[in-house]
Amino acid sequence: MNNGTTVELAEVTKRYGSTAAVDGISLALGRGVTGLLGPNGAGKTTLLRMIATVLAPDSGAVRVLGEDPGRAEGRLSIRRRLGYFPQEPGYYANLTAFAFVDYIAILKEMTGRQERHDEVTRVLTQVGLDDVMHKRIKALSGGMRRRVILAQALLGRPELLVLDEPASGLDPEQRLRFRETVSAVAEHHTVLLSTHQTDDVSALCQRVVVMDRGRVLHDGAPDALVDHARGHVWVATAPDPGARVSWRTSSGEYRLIGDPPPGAELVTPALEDAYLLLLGRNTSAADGPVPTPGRA
Amino acid sequence: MELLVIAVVAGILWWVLRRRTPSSPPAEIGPVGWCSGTNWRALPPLARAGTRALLRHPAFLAGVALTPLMLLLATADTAFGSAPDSRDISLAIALALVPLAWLTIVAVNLIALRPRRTGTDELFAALPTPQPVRTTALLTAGVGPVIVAAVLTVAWVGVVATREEVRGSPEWLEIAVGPLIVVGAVAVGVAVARWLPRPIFGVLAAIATMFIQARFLDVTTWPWDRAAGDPVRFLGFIAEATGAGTAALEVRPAGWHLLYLVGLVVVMASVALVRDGLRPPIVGVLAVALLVVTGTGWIQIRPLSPARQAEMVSYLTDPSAHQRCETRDGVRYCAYPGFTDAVVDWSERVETTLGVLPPIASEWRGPLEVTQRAAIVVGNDSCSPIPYEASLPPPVAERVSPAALWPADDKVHPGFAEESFPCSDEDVHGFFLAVQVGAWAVGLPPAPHGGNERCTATGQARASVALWAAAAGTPDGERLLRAVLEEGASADGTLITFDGGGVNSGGWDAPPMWGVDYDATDAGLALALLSRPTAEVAGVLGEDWAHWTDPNTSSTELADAAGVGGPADAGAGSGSPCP
Repeated sequence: MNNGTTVELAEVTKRYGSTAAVDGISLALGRGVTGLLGPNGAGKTTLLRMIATVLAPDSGAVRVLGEDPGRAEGRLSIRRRLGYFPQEPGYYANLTAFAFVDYIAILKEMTGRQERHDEVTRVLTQVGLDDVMHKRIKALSGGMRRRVILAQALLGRPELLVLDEPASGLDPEQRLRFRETVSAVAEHHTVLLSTHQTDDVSALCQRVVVMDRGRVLHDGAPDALVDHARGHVWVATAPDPGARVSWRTSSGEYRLIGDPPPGAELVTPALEDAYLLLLGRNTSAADGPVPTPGRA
Repeated sequence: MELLVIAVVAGILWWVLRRRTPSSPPAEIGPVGWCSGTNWRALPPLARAGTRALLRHPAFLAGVALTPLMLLLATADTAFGSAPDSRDISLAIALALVPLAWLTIVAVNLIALRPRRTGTDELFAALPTPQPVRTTALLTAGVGPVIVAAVLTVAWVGVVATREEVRGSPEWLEIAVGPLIVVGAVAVGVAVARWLPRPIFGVLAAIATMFIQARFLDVTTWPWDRAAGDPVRFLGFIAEATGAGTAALEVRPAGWHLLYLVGLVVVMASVALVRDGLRPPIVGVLAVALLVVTGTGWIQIRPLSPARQAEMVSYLTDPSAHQRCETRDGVRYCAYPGFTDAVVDWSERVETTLGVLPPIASEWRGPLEVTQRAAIVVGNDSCSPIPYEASLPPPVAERVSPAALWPADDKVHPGFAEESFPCSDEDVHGFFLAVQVGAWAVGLPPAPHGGNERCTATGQARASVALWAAAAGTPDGERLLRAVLEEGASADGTLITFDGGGVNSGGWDAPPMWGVDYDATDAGLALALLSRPTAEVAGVLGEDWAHWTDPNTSSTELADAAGVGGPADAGAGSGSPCP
């Protein structure tokens, strides 16, 4: 592993039948928050599962925390230092939040009862569940349940935190708290965050990787992605058939993304504009449908 | 009863499974298997968590709730009569834990599959505790159910111990089979979950154990027919007692059977663990366990030694060499060791039966001998009649002939088992023995001989006298005689044969050993005589005892003499006439 590199992927491919979910991706990730953006089916979850050691690549090399997950010993070592939030995590609904996270703490080899309980209390408090930690999970709201899963991922202060759409279903206040939690972890460790929320990426990530159809379209700072969109976002009083994407905003004007007509009123692009523009270009290149904004 | 239990268990299983949600696709890599650097310190807390989950699982709790009921039913008076044997009760206690074991299989299996069922398997796959540790923890969690099973068992042994009528001491090697099958249930539940990770297979495993157990318990069903005494039954989980009636004729390698079950448990636990790879220590344990199972299996079913066979044959065919005899009021009683306490009951019934007859009845026959011997027909656990020889170990059965076992000796013969109506514990107060005594008094064969050979005395006054004396000399005798007349009648209703007809179309599981197939009409006359004062009837009989016991004297004549109205003409009857 290179200096500061936590995750290294080299020409990694994973296929499901004839479809390449991940198609020859090479990446090197280090400390801080890396956002993973992409439409559904882009291969984000497959990539995260390989990094989280629950899926084996068909080809290519994966090294996580300096270990090879293809070896049992390597997987064991990685898992001891990993926090993972799967896309569809599941729960033991009849257990309390505390008991469930405590059980996972045991599986994370926290064998000292008191220390483990202290740690479970810490992470549940960190995600704002200290009031309800002794309630059964089935009695908690959807957002609270996701925070239970986030709490277990934080157990033991993992060196690598892999989060697959953790903010889905969180209300604005919970999302802010989530950002606070993740940014705190990322001060010293590596966080890989898959999301459809470009505002989360803007708020949290020092680096963004945009994926589509198993390939990386962009890998760099969020500002660099935004820079690509400069001069391609404008507002108008009517939709323009030449725009790749357009929508009516709350002010009654249309926000358009694409190649602007002469004299168009250009505006400063947001990360979402840049993301949509990037996907639109990629889709056009593949003669596919134009993506729509928001979650797919 | 078995069908009811299976129906209840099946209902509980259905309810438990109905509540489960479908699983999500499993992770492809899953947890690491056997791996150097594994931290086994997670085992104790994981086992504790598993124990808690198991003890709170609805299926297990249902099993716990069901067990006292099963214990109650299995050890109730109804199952053993008025003088139950501790060995039989010990077996029954072990058998009563079987439903708990079935439900434990399901509970453990569902807990083992919980990550898959709840969709947490991907999350758990990314955690560092390897699957062998988790599997071992779940196997270790079986300690909880076993403690519960052991507590229930010991408590019930204590309850049974308060019953004064129970003969002998608890047989702990037999009793221990119960908790041990619960241990086995845990191992089966985990092993099935590891190899066939779908909840339905846990249920199927429970059903399979029911099927296997039933095959080894039943004697006449696929895949083989066997005698009840065939030791192959010890290859099942629980081997019931045979109808041999006495421990001296029952081969029960209880210690070996326990070791055999321990071997099976270890095999299943090893099978669960080798799912993650053939590690030498586990393979070694598996190999040793297989050897233990094979060895103890063979020891249990090996042929009896010639000496033991000869001893058992002698026990049956030369009772005088084994029985202890005593004389009371001129009657000689002989009982096998372990049954000598019964002599008091026998003598009471003999005295009351002979006591209603005129004194000459005892004098003209000479001294009465009451000698214990096996019944020719005994019941199995399904309340079905089977030949006594079938309950013996096959080599012993081959060496005894009916003529040697049941000679025609004109003696009264109480059996090993308590007298009872089919599958009932109703106390018949020695009525069946009393009928033998009555028959002896009037010159009829008291007991059958050879291959259950009996004779008929249809229309003979002495037959009615025998039945009347028995009923008159037995508490509640009239009702008992009526019940016998109703339930023991042959298919055409003319004779009391106990072999089908009446209300027990399948025949009696342990019919009275009477030497005469009494005619229903003669029994009717005996009932009519009961309506007259006993002394009055005895007076009539005493006036000319030789006449009334003459085979040529009809029951019609007796009815006339006693003033109870003549019975319908009974005809000649079927079967060979009594001498």
